[in-house]
Order: sequence, then structure tokens, then C-alpha cells
Amino acid sequence: MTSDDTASAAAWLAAYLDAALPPDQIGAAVASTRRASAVVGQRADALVMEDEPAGFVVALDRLQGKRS
Amino acid sequence: MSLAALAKAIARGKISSAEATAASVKALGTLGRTLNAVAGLDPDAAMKAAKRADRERAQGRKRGPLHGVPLAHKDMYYRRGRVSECGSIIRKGFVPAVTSTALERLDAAGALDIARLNMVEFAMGPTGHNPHTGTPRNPWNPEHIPGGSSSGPGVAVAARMVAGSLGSDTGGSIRMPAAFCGIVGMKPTYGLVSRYGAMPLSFSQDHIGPLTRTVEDCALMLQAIAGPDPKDPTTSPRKPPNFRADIEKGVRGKTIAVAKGWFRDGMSDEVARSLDAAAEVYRKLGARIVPVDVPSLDHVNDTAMLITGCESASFHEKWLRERPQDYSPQVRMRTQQSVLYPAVRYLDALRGRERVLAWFVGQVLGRADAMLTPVLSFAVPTIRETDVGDNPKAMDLVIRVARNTRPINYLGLPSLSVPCGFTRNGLPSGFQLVGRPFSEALLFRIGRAYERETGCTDKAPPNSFTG
Repeated sequence: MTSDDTASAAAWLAAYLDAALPPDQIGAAVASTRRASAVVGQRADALVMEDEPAGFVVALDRLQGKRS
Repeated sequence: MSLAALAKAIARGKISSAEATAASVKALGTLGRTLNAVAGLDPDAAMKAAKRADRERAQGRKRGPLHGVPLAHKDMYYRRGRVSECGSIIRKGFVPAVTSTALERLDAAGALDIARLNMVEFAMGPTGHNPHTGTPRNPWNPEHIPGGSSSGPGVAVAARMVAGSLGSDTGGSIRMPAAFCGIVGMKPTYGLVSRYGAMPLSFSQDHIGPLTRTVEDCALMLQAIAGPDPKDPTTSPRKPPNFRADIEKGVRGKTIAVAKGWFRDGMSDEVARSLDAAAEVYRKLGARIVPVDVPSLDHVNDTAMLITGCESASFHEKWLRERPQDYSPQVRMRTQQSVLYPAVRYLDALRGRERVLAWFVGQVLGRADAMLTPVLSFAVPTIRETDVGDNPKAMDLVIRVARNTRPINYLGLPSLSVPCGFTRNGLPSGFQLVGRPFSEALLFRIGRAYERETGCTDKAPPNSFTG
């Protein structure tokens, strides 16, 4: 992570929220959110175009009482 | 007295609602203040409601199965005309214009709502810490965390101030206070209980459910609140079953998967022994016990936290902009930083839920009726060692507190927390039974079997109300 990333994130937060995280927290915030985003992004490749959020509720109903 | 016993005693006239409510009011007003469980208490209003319930009963007009029973709930359930402050400065004095469906259904069941209970600020935390209201104290040892974010409910029910309480669970916030305070808590399937009128933390992962002293009580309270609600379009249209119909039928012939692998990482020896001992109890009761090697769920936890971050940042955006100083530093940081998540990743996280759920139910639960895992992999820590404000290094410990519970919220599966003994430091330990979607009745049956065999819910903490 470069100081540019931190500076960009700080600027984004300041512009979006009219407020900034304290400088000692911005680096940790960037690292934390970038890491979690990467984790989700890695698994996004397994998704197909037709996967959508509403599929979850449908799956809960479908999987009720089902055993493999 | 348990909730079920109290309801029966009031219905039969053996005890009046006024007597029961006076006792709870006294408990909440004394021990409740000492343990910092209470956010708001109106004794006059409580007694007025109790006397009305007694008049109705005398006239043969019983409202429902919980008629006249005094309850108190986490201070995030809106009731029209009454403040609901959500453990925050931001919502100080907030009076909602609506009443939550969960409270309306408890009202319809005849229960009384006599106090508001403390919670973590905006439900964002697993330990119970709250710098605005003060941290509720674990009745087993007040130096230890009660668990969060339903901290007040955990304390109030364990310490015998009320027989039941509504909490909410977005990453473990019913199950952790239940386990840390030695009581029972149910995080039901996503969509079983309406979230209408409850303060949101993460609308995709919020679950409403009860904390009670016994398994039967939990089933009784869940029965009152479960079911479709047109005001919450995420509720399942299915009519809930009778959660207590088979509750005493035992576990003979049932298959319980004991979690190994990821759930054992970082587990202390004493928690591992108590989990294996619980499995042995089930084996002796006739259940088939199978080990299941659970692969890493770290990515599920990360994904769940991303969703919670994005959704909570959305709710809090205006306040973050206008009143950032009124948040505690930790809550402020958590919500502000979530603005940095790309929208595409948030959508990926939601889109992936169906696949992860199908995998978990098919490959991890497999042919088991339920999976047995610990709620917390180590002994309940102290308030001091988990105080992030005092010690930034405490954050690592705080993150580990919700490790075992959070994945279940992403999956939306039901999970029942049941007490299973004590660790060496004298604090309770609890396991969670994770089931298939909408298998709450079966989880109650399995939990009840353990409770009946071990008496795990009989013991009261040293700091309990005794009248």
C-alpha cells in the first residue's frame, strides 16, 4: 500500500463524508477494507451472470429440511 | 421461575401479573442498575399495565399465551411514543412513530413490556462495551464482559430480573450474551421473524430473536414473534410450525455433526473438552455423532463484515457527516471506513450468498440434523482486556470473540446457543447448534435434550435477583 493510496482514501472520505478519519487510522482503514474487498473479489470469479442477491432467500426456502 | 411456568401461574391465578411485575420492577431498579443492564424503566407504567392484565384475566379475557408476563427488551425495538435510544448519543430522546412487529406480536400474546435494556452503541460490538451508557456487567463476575450487542438482555435474563428478552443478532449478538451469561438464545433463520420497527445494523444479516433462561421459554417466545409480515418483505411467507410440539422427544436417531477443522482453530483445551463432553452427552442419549472437518470460513467472516460495513455506513451516512463527534471512536471508525468498499464488491458479497449457503448445507451439514460448535473458543474475557479504547491491542481479541458466530449470519441459518458448563475462571461456556433453514423446532428439541439431561440452565449466577 502506497502513501498515494492512503492519501486518495483520505481525500475520498473527506469529500464523501465532509469529515476525515484521524491520520493514524486512515492507513489501517485502507488496509482493512482493501483486504476484505480482495477476499470477496477472489471469489467473485465463481459467480455466473445470473447469480443475484435475491437467490439467497430462494435458497433458504429450497434448502429447508433438505439433506444431501 | 421460567417464562413458561410464570405464564402458567399467572393464567391459573396462582400469582398475579402485578406481583410478578412488581418483582421484576424491583429487580431492574436495583440489581439492574448495579449491573448496568437498564436503559429505561417506568415503574408506574409497568404496574398500570400489570393491573390491567390482572383485570382482564379476572374477566376471562386472556390475550394470549404470555398474558401478564413482564418482559424487557434491547433498546432498539421501536414503540410508538416511547424513546428508543439504541445505546447512542445520536438517538438520545428519539421517539419513533411506529411500533415494531416483534413488540406488537408480544403485545398480542399478552406480554408486558416494562423496561428498555442497555446495548452496544447501534449494536456494533460483540463484548458489551458502551462508553455512552456504561458497560453492563456479567452477573457471574462483574469484571467480565456480558457479551454484545444484546448485553442488557443477557444480563437481565441471567440475573433473573425478567424471564425473557428480545435481542438481535447480526454477527452473534444474541448467541454471545446468551453463552457468556449462561442462558439460552436463538438466532432464527433469516426471514423467520420480521425486522420491521427494529433499528437496523445490516438489513441483509440482522436477525431478531429471544434470550431466555430455558430452551422451552425460547421456543415459547419465538412462537409469539415468528411469521410472515407484509411490513417486512424479507420475511418468509411460510407459516411457522409449533416449535414446542416435539420438544421433549429427545435425540435418538438424530445425527449431530461435531465441528472440527476451522472451528477448532484457536480453541482452548478447556472449551474443546466441554464441546466434546456435550457431544458425549448426545451420544449417550442416542444421537449419532459424526465429526465434520470444516474448511476455513475466514472468507465468510470477511464477506459478512464487508456487507455489515457497507449497509451500516449507508444508514449512518447523514449522521457521520453531521455529527461524527457523537459516535464512539470505534463505531465511527468502523462505519466511516466502510465508505471505502467498492460497490461492486458489496454486490459480489450478496450475490455469492446462495452458493455459499448451498455448499454449507450440502457439504458441511451434509446428512446431519445439526452441527455443534462452540460460541466462544476461549474463556469469557474481562471488560478491561477487551477495552479497545484503553488498549488498541485488545482489537485482536475483540475480533476473535465473534469469529464462530459471524459466518452463520452470512448464511442466514438458525443457531441455538445453549449453556454447557463453566471455564476455569468461573464464567459460563456455551455451544451453538446450527441447523438447516427453518429447522428451529428441531434445534429446540436437540437443545432441550441436553438441558434435560444436564440441568445446564438450573444454576443462577451469584449476582441474581432473589426477591
